[in-house]
Amino acid sequence: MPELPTALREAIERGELTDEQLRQLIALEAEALGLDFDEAVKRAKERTLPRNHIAADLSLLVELLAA
Amino acid sequence: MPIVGGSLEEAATDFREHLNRVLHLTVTQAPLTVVRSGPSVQLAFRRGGRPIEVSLRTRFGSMWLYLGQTCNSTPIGDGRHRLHTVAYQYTLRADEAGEATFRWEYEKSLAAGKFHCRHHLQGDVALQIGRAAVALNDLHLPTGFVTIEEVLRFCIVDLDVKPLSAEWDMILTDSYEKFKGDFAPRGQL
Repeated sequence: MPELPTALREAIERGELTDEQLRQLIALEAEALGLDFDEAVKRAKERTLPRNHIAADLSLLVELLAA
Repeated sequence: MPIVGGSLEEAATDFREHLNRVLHLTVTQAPLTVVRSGPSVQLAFRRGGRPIEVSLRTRFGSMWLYLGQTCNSTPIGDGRHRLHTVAYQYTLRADEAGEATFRWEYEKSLAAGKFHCRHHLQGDVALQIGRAAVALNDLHLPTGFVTIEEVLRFCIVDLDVKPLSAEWDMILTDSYEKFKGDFAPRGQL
């Protein structure tokens, strides 16, 4: 997975993401899986993502998005 | 373990600090990171913001551990918040394997049309059931709620990960009891 943009990395280090930053993080993790945001969210809900730790993380972030 | 906090931030910080202390005295010095968005938090190993697995030396060689949880918060009066786990993903992957050998998962809400056990174990494991070859990934083996402490105990006891302190058993037992008592009282999962 490529490096995250500085502002996003700093927000994660501070421990607080805006909705936009959360979506950005999901989109970057989706990209690392070869997916776009919408497809990744859909597959996270269907539980059909690849079986690796990036997909595991992404699915947990999607839960955050839905809250 | 006061997973009830004076604010969501405080509850999340307490949770993270408690789990990191447990991790640092049992299997890894790698810290968990908490990110908050709205009324929820997510906890995972990260480096440079990216999700990572941490390396463990086991009797089967190197394995890679990922721990992640998403929690929602509920205000409980006096401005205090209580965290509730709504999803977890714990994975253990053998070195150079493309998929996790074991995945412990919990989904509080199932998607429409899904009826499997919400707490389950899957993984890249071949099973033989009678004459049929079955993949564990094709089943949702029921588990009940699996705590992070139980996964760490499995790593030490069954995978022979060398514990980072002599008190590892007491630390895991105490943390498990506090989690079950304070964080996830029976009936609230």
